Amino acid sequence: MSTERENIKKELKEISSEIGNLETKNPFMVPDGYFEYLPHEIQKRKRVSESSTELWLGFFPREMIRIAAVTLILVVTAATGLLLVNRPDQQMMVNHEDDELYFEEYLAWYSDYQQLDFYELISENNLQADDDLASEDVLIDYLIDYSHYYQQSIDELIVD
Amino acid sequence: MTELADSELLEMFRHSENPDYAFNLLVRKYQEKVYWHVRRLVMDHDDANDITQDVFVKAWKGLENFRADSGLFTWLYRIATNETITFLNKKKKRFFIPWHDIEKVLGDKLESDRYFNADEIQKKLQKAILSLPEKQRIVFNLRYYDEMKYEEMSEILDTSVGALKASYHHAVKKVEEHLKNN
Repeated sequence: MSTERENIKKELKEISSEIGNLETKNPFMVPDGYFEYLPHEIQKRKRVSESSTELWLGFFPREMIRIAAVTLILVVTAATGLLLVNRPDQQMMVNHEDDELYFEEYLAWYSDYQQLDFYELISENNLQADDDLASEDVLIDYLIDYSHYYQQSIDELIVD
Repeated sequence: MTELADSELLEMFRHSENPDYAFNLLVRKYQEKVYWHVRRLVMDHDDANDITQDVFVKAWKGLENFRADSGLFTWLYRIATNETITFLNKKKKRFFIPWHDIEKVLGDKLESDRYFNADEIQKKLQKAILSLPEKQRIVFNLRYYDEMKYEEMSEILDTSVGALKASYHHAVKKVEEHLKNN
């Protein structure tokens, strides 16, 4: 019995004689021949791990990867340039149309859900609607302006 | 074949034309220790098998940059411990198991495990060990089953020797209490 083992046993008995006097047994088992086979399994997993990281790169010739990378950079640069050159008023129009559609759908759903009409929805949520909000279209325009002005999303605008 | 020393294995891994062979020798040298360390923490053979394989794959990837300022054996144990803790945390999250219930889940699993063969007292001991907090469980296993020195444990768990001694003391007391009350 090695000294370290003796020390450990002695220490254990000092803390708890009950556990110290138990025989230290390993109650777990493994399938027959498991440790003979395990190194092969590890080698297999290692190969899979290596090939999976190299697969998508290793599949293409180096030159092709280089060309693809340059093409991607050019496309991104061109797209960024187009966005910058694009007129701001056109951008605003597109955004405005998107906003309008989104507000319309959201308000329709929300008023339906709350069983309120558009005007009740406005007063319920303490928004300061002008008296001259004659139609739903005007109301939607008003809400869009309102949300842009206060930088609130539609959800915050209606629900808060 | 005589087992090579860690330094010889590392030398062979770094400078031979066939690092795979050196790595295979390393696996054969440490696979059982790593497996049993993991198995005692996760209980289940399939889980332990999976984690052990991952441990060695990680070791393979890190071996090139391994600095011999810590022992190869403690380095492997450190990877194994971290992998096991990560596995248990994932398991908890995946199955929404609170940490204090994981002992019950693992304990129940033991009952039906065909690779678990214990008499009544050993079963009770395993369940008592399972009732320990994670860190104490690791410390208890390393000292009780692996007969590891506190200094080595300190390297693996990055904890002071004094704290480890206290942790082991508490763990043994709790196991004793559990055995008395169950």
